[in-house]
Amino acid sequence: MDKNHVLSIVTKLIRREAPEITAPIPPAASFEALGVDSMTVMDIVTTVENELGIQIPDDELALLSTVEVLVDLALAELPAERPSTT
Amino acid sequence: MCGVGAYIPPSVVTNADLTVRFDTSDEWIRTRTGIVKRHVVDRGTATSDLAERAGAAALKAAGVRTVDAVVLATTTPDHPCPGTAPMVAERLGMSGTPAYDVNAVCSGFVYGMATAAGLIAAGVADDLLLIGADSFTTLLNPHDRDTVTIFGDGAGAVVLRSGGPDEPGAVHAFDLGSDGALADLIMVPAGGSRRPPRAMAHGADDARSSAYDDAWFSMQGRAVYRHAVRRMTGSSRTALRRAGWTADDVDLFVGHQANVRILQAVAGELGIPDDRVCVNVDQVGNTAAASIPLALAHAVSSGQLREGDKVLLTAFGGGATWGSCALTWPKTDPPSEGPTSF
Repeated sequence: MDKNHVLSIVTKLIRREAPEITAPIPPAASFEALGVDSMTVMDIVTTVENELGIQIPDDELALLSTVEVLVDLALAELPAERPSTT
Repeated sequence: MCGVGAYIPPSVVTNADLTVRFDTSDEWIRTRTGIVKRHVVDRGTATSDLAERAGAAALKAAGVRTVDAVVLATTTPDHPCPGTAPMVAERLGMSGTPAYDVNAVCSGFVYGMATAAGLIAAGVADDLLLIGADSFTTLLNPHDRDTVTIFGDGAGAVVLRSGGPDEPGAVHAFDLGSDGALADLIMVPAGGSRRPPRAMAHGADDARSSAYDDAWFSMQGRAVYRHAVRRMTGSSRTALRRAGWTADDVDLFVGHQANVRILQAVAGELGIPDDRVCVNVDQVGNTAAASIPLALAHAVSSGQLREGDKVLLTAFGGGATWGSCALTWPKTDPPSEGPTSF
């Protein structure tokens, strides 16, 4: 799963958890600038974790400031894809 | 369970008061926590003072003058040593009665319920007084907006007695748990045996030093939110299963009043509608071990609880600890002591 794919999933889930956001969501946007408070960030993290079957470590949560950071953390927890054999 | 009492100190800190001290607003605090005001102890008032008032009110509500044991759930005892419960018991006229503290932070009251049930089952006591009391604001760094906005002080108490499983007031099931790997999520790092007070003598009063910071309560808010929702939900399901109930059976869900968002998230996961969720965190903030009994007193005063109602208690706290309890509500009179704001 590449970064753009994860970004599209994360963006979709942010819109689901925070439907009040109607503007574009640039990857560098901070959750604070988007008007997403810390507990809604955690709701988004939980949804992303459930959707992707991953668990983002507790000690990363306090520094989770932007959409891109969340995408990178999710990518880091996803199992590495096996190279194609065909 | 056969009597409920409550006491919160008279001094009030409103959100407007906090906007003077911090870069915050009433709207910011309300949307993130649901809290409107909190009651705080004045200098010189200790946890035992709150516990004594709540305990006396619970004894009166239960129609008894003495009981066979006193259990105090608290994380803010009057002194590091000894425990506070014996002092409270003595002041309530029960010198000689077994009395001790239970520390499970915000889960303390549910842990205390299980402890009480055990004392009764073991034949140590036929009835007892369980108090949840905390002066949590005494642990807070006065410059820390994130914790000062959340916590308040108070005490709630119940009288428990032996009885049959079909009686109103019967306690049907418990679930308790802990995970010490999460200890640093909710902690006062210094002042215990790991870093004794004497090691902090230099710098503890200096706001620029780490010793100063470590003497105060700290909380990793985002991780606490995650684990609180997960554990309170799971523990509630276990207690319901052990009681032979489903979420649809629950007349009132009384969760630890940490934050209205956590309560809504847990109730949502369980499928319990908002009108069956007890909320008083708006009026008292997070009062740690006092949270659930204060919420019960609020529910009695506001007519949310009636004899025979099925009640689900659940909490998550430092340790990490968590616990749930399923009980049917007894006939209770409104608490005789406590704020009129209930």
